[in-house]
Amino acid sequence: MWSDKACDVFGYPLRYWRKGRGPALVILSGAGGPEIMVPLAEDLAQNFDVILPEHPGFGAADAPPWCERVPDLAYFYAEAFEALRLKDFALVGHSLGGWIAAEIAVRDAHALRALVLVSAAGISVPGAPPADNFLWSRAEMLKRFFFDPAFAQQALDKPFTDEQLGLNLKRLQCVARLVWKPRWHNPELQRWLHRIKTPTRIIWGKDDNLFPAAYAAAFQAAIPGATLDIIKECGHLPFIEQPDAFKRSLLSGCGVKP
Amino acid sequence: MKFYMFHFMPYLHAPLDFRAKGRDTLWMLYPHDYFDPAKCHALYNRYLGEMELADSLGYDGVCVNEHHQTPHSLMPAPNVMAGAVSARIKNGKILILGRALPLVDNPLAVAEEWAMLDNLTAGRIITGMVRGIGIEYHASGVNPGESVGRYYEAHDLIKQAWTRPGPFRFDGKYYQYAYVNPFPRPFQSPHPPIWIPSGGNPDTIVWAAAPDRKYTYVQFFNAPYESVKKTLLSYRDAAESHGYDAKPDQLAWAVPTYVADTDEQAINQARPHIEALFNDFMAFSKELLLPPGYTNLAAAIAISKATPVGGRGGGRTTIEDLLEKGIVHIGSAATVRARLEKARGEIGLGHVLALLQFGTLPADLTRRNIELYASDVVQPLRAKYPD
Repeated sequence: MWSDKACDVFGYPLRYWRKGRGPALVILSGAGGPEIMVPLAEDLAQNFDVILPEHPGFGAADAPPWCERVPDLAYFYAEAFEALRLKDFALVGHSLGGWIAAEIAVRDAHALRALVLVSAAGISVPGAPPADNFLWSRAEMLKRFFFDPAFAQQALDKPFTDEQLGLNLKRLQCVARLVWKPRWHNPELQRWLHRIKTPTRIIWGKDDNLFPAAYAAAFQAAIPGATLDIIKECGHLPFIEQPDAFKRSLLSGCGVKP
Repeated sequence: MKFYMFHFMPYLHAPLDFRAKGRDTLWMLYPHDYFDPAKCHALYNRYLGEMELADSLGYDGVCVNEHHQTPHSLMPAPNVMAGAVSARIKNGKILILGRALPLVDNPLAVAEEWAMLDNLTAGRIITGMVRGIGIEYHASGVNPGESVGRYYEAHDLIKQAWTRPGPFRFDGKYYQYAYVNPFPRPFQSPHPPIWIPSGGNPDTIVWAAAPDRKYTYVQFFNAPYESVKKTLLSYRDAAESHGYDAKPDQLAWAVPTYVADTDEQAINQARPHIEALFNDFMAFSKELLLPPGYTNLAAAIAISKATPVGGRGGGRTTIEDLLEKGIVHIGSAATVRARLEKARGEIGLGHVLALLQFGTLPADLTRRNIELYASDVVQPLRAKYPD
């Protein structure tokens, strides 16, 4: 459930969803926002104290002026984790959130017990460029995000309200500022991924049309000891399209026996 | 009133049937394998000849423009074209409207190029500073969320480079130089005129009208007359709130124009060509035209709910739509004069930038248009409004 009180981080009121008991587990969502990850968070709350933040600028408050690139968010969240007194926790990041998680892990991993990168941005893979999502309409984005078109249709059947349209455009502006150039990656992150010593699980949809599955192998090659699960018949949102396979991989990545 | 000939220099052999091939634009995403360099060469010569004709007929100047990766314009580097124009145009001004400053990583080079052109022409250039339309941020890779910041900073750098004794240091957020000391210096003192072409952004208008700038504001193409009026009057309001009266010299309108002997003849002759401009040469998806961050959020929401002009949703825009909204001046000389006199009376318009070649308009009609506009519109209006 959403926190009543925001967490003050460098003067920004960070909103977050939190539920469950057990070791802490943080989920950093992708560019679409945290809402689509709430069902996953609910599920994980059986095993974990789950924290799912809303990225700066993704809600009512505007993004702070210093929030220009993904490394800025890495420092922001490192500070937020200290403010929330999180220790020895699992960090799960999807897409943009995976990129933020990797940036955190190369900087300061002392509080991390496990790292799970899901369909993550942040690197550039020769021969496997990301698709240009900024040229997609909403319909096209949904079509590309799933292996099974039924999922896209289900979402398309629910057109945006005016409020959702406004929020979506606001998030898109935040995201573009963060990832436009270099597009969806940070060469310096790629250079230092080998510093990550946290046990790392990489999870990818075999049919990801935004960040091709070749990314997964590249992340695995760069992070010492990382393990990899490629999920079949699965696009960019594995926790929605293949929730069971995804959860199994996530739990084992976090050291929990199913 | 002053009158200028504006040119987009379109590659008019572009495949205008692109929709039949499942495409929704000729810009950037369309494979340009249809390009024929011999045709491009011929078009450059034709268009430069049209500018020479305008100059010989006493136009106050000719205008070049910048767009990228599109047959809509053969001028991705407008200062290169201005260099070519400067060898041919001996009387009028050369207006570079505009150079998209945020797209370059070294705006000092733009200050240098303009200083060269200013000296080549003995001070006959007018510079235009623009952000470029949204699609240029896809085409250049520059972050659209930094467009405004880069624009103002590049402007500051260029103006300082022209006016401050050098060498000096420039520490901007986007541009940093240990040494700014360009050579040659501009011909005009303190610097070449700066004009601000825009689609009507209120922030830009207030900024341009500030007392230490007083830049001529150019309302660009595809705006209905009522919105041109509103925008230019808002410049006058901004000037008033700054404590002075804006002069006609500060107010300009760029408008597609075609003159023939009668209204009917003008409409018949212009129809396929003006409709090609608005429906085909300027067709884009919203995503292509508006990368996130190019506008503020309120504008992005408003635009995402609106139906764009040309090619999408509501079918093709017709010449009748364009005339009704006052987006174009097409008709007999008397009709076109009446529209301009209305704008003069209601807005205090000082500069008219007439787009006398548009879309696929062929050479013979373009030349006739340039001649008729000069004799039957420019000369009488200039006599009536000498300022």
